[in-house]
Amino acid sequence: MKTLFMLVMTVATTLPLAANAQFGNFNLNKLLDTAKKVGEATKDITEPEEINMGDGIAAMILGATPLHADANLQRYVNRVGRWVAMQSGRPDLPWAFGVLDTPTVNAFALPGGKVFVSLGLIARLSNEAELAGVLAHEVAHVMQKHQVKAIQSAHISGALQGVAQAEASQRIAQGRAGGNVLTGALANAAAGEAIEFVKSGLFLRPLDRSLEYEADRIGAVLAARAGYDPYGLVSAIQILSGLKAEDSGVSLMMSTHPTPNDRLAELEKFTATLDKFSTQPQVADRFAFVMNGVIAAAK
Amino acid sequence: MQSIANTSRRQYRSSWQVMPLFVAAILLVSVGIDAQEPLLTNRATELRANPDDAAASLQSLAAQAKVQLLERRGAWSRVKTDTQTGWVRMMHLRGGVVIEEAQPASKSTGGGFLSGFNRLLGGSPQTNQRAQSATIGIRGLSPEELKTASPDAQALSAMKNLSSSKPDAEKFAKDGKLARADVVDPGESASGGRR
Repeated sequence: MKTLFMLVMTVATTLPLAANAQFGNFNLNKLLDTAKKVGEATKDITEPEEINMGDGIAAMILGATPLHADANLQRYVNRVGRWVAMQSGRPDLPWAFGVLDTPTVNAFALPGGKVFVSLGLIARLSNEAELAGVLAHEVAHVMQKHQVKAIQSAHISGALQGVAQAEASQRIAQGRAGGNVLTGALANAAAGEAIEFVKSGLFLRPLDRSLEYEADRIGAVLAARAGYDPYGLVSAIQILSGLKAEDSGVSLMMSTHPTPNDRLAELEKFTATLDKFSTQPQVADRFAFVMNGVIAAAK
Repeated sequence: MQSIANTSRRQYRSSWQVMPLFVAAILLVSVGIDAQEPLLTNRATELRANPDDAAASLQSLAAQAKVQLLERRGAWSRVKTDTQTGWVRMMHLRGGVVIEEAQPASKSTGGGFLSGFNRLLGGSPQTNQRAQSATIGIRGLSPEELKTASPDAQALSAMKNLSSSKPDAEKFAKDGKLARADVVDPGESASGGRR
């Protein structure tokens, strides 16, 4: 019902806009097609669709930046991440965590439980509780479906642009995006749309600040539930607060998040309630072992 | 660090292939931040003898006082001021100090494993260079690279193959002496979070 209402409202507002701004000759069929796309965009995205979307975006990120080659590091990060994700409201998603082989400092959560963290970020950390805090922030985004909602809203505004978008969607539905023939796991409409989402640059739009603060809060809670010192996330953000926002390796992360100092100020509003868990382990030795393995392998 | 590594190596024997990572190490030299940046107090606070609000104050620190992080324990950070060592509430500390002078990496206790990666290069971890130019041409996560990338389905499959199952993660947690804790989300009513 809500969807129908939104569709009607959207068509009502789209009609003069599309007719005037984009199409000199009013074309009812094209407009109806646009409306149909808007309708599709506003319907609830199912979990399988969400997972497919995440796969599409993940494939794009991996097309830009390779996974780090150290399987030991990858498995370690997956274990920390999965353990944290098991404390979330969505423990059964096909969670997969990837360390990207880049010195830049960043982490991404994608719909459906794919999470990336850069080696440049991990290399700045000192223990597993900090890593768990970073991953828990990303898990919180997935748990609260922040990205799915962002994609939905981007899709709606995309559909409002009219027929060009509708035609693009048609191409994607046929399994093609930007000349790349999608095969296998990516040959579905949701993955195709997600790939377009990245190509359009919409993926890089920051989430609302309040969602980042929410992910910090829930992240600290999830890490604490997983048995870690909840101040690991605080510590990781404190490390980020020492980075220069204009450094090229940090700029993308900084441009998509509130400043670390603002995040710390928000976290401080409730961290006292987590103090009784602050004696939980930081697990520094296991983290050191894995990181030293990465360093040793490069010698 | 070395002793930790040796101990851990016995403790966590790995059967996985560890691949050569020259490229990764070289890329890390371009990371623009060194490990020696101190922290600043973001308000007037006390340097205490122990990590406890009730512990004796060793020194009153003004806002913007520069300290060096030595260790963190829960909500408290052990730091070194110009004259002594003590504990400060970690929430009273922020990063953001730029050091212009060179400092040896070996003096650092902060900065995670960055100095280890830097040392690999046999270069000069001492310099606090923000080598922005070095990042040019490196494959990374720039907006342009993401927009123009081609989806890599093979890499995605490789990533999925490295994921952890629930029983695997349970065992990992047990090995790390991590026990589930019942933690209430302080913002739960606002966000609709779990529990």
